[in-house]
Amino acid sequence: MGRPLSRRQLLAGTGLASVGLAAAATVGGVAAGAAGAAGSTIGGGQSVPFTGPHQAGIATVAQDQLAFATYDVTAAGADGLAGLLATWTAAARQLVTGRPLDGSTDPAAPAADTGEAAGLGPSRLTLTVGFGPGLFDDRFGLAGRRPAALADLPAFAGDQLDPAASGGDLCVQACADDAQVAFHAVHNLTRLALGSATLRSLQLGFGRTSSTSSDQSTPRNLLGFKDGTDNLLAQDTAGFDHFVWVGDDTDQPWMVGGTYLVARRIRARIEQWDRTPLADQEAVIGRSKASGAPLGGTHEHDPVDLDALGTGGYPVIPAGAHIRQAAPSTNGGQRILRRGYSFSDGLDPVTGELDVGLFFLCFQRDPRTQFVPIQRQLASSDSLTQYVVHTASALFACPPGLGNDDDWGTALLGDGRAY
Amino acid sequence: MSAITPDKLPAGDPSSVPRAGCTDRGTPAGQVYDSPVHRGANNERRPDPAGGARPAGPVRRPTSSGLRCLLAVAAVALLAACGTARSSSSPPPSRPTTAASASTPSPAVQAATLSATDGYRRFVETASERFAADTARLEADIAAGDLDGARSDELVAQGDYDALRSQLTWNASATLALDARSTDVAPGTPFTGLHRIEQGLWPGGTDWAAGTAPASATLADDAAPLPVALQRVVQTPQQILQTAVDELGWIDASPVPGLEEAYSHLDTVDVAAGVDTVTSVVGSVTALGELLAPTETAVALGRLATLTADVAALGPPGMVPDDAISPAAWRTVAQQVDATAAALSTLDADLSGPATGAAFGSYGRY
Repeated sequence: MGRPLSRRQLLAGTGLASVGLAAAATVGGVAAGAAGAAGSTIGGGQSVPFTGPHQAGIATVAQDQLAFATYDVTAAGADGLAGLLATWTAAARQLVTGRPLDGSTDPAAPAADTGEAAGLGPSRLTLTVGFGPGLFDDRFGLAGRRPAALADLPAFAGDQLDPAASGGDLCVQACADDAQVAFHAVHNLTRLALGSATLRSLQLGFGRTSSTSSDQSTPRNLLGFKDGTDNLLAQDTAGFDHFVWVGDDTDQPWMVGGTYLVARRIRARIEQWDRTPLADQEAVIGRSKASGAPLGGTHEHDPVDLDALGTGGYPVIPAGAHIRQAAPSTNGGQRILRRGYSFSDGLDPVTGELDVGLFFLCFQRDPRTQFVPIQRQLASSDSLTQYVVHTASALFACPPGLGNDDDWGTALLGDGRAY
Repeated sequence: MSAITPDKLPAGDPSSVPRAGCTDRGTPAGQVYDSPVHRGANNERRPDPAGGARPAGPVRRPTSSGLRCLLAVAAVALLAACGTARSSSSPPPSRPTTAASASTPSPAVQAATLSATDGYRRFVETASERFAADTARLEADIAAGDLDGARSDELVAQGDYDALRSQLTWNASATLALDARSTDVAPGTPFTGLHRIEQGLWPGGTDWAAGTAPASATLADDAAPLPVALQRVVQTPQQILQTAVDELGWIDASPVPGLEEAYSHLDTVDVAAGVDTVTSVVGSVTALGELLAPTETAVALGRLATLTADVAALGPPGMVPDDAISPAAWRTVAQQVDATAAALSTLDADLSGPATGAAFGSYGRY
């Protein structure tokens, strides 16, 4: 059948964008987690503090480049897992400052750092770790610590998921303003994981597809449209508390201050999109391609009027328009923080068409009440689904931020490793 | 019980979404499906369930005076709608308008426009009749325990469904009922239609007696109303050509990667049927295209001819397993699909102007 509906649809959240008032310095502080030492600069670019109440790379002003890796843990028992997380944390503290990893300088031995980021500076590198549902099976004695919100994602109509590229015990989201810095971080963490975890998938992304700060202009996705106009912004701390950060009401106290990450590799049928008339593209999205204004509006940030009727009594923003189907008002008021990136993985080996799209990353307080119902709505009614197919999917629990003496396993495993 | 009745097919389904090529903005409040010109309650022409020959031969002429009247009214409105933008709230695409769109269309253009509309309507009507007959024959062969016959029937039905695809994508429930792949079905939703039957017929036929027979009966019931429901398809040449562009997009998205026939692995049946459909659809607007945009029309026809040859080189439709076709051959087809679709989408814009009829609006939906 292809797609059960018709031939088009999209993704993207909507909602009323908060109005950010903060100056750049304030944005940086909030984005970095509003805690920890001020960032330092080595070489080019700024650094983002590693410590804080929340992990960096979530509220952080979105960088331009992504390297996202998932891993299967092979280490024996909880001690092995704890050791891996402690090793990664120590390395990450160095990587985010732009310094090479410490280690042997013996010319007869392999270098501790792979070296490709030397001289590039920190480039606002952030490293964000998440725990997949599989980590809570019987291998590590963590079954009792699995949050209810870390429920396996259901199947969605139209999914064409590659199991090998989906799921994973652990994830590392590396974001930076320099692609090589982001890759370098994942490269070295993967190297450090040898013997403890194997790489399951690696996705490189370029070009953020959402703004996460009022300081940023709205970027365009590979469909050519502005994306993320109504995203949650870092200045909206109340919005983050309500929609992103796990609160005290969680069933797993170790997740307080954390969040849940959903990753979806969404391939765009770009050739099909490219040959679609402009007016149809705009009807599918619900916005002007040039200005980003909602249909019926003039400017990008004009209010989205879903009730407006046009000629002949038809809705100005069509029934299946992406911005309608993704709107909070269509989804029980729910919102998510989108932090995705465009990707290009060359050619489809079968058709020779471009294998490109959106590596959709979103953070929320509870996927069961946020991503899942929103995606169900999109899968059934969003015109953009005719142009996209989800090819990989994963869900992770991202623990809260770290103090100076913490590592990524501290919250989950406990200081005394009393799991 | 049939899941589909004519009054379930209209565009009012809130879960339906715009089809490629359509700038439809939704259904106005209170608008419901305007039933087609009825032929009478018992005039659905159910085919011989014993498996009579597939209806073939010349396309029937329209018999409904009401439909003729509708076409005439639509044509008048269409001619008055010169230069109407495709979208009610957006500027038209930035392509330059053709000279013909700036003035009253010539009699030749008017005639070609009506011919395109009527030709496409007859194509859909005939395909829907064939599909209804196919599914009835499929039901009968399964009931008779004829596995080989049922497999053949299923492939024929799949091909004929492909000719209707663009019309049925308007309606999610109808599309799901008739042609959902297992991956298209949301959890908790019944898996029915052609691919449910394909599932029963091909993997050794293990459950075909138990599960396939009811599925085939449901499919036949669902297909039976289609000739009536699709009897009055009236679309602008631009909309018509867009269905060809849509069909080509689907070929690359589903059958070429082997995603359509997940059990029989005979996706060439869909590729060939899709290209045949495109050929027929393009044929209905060729005369108009040659009047309005002869160069673009020639380019599109040339690419379509190449595609047709590429598909023929795959082997007899439905006879060659997917994995017996070389990756290079699949890619050749896929690339030519894109090349053809690109040319048709360019030509499609040239069919706007006199062929853009806002008055077609809701009529074009069924």
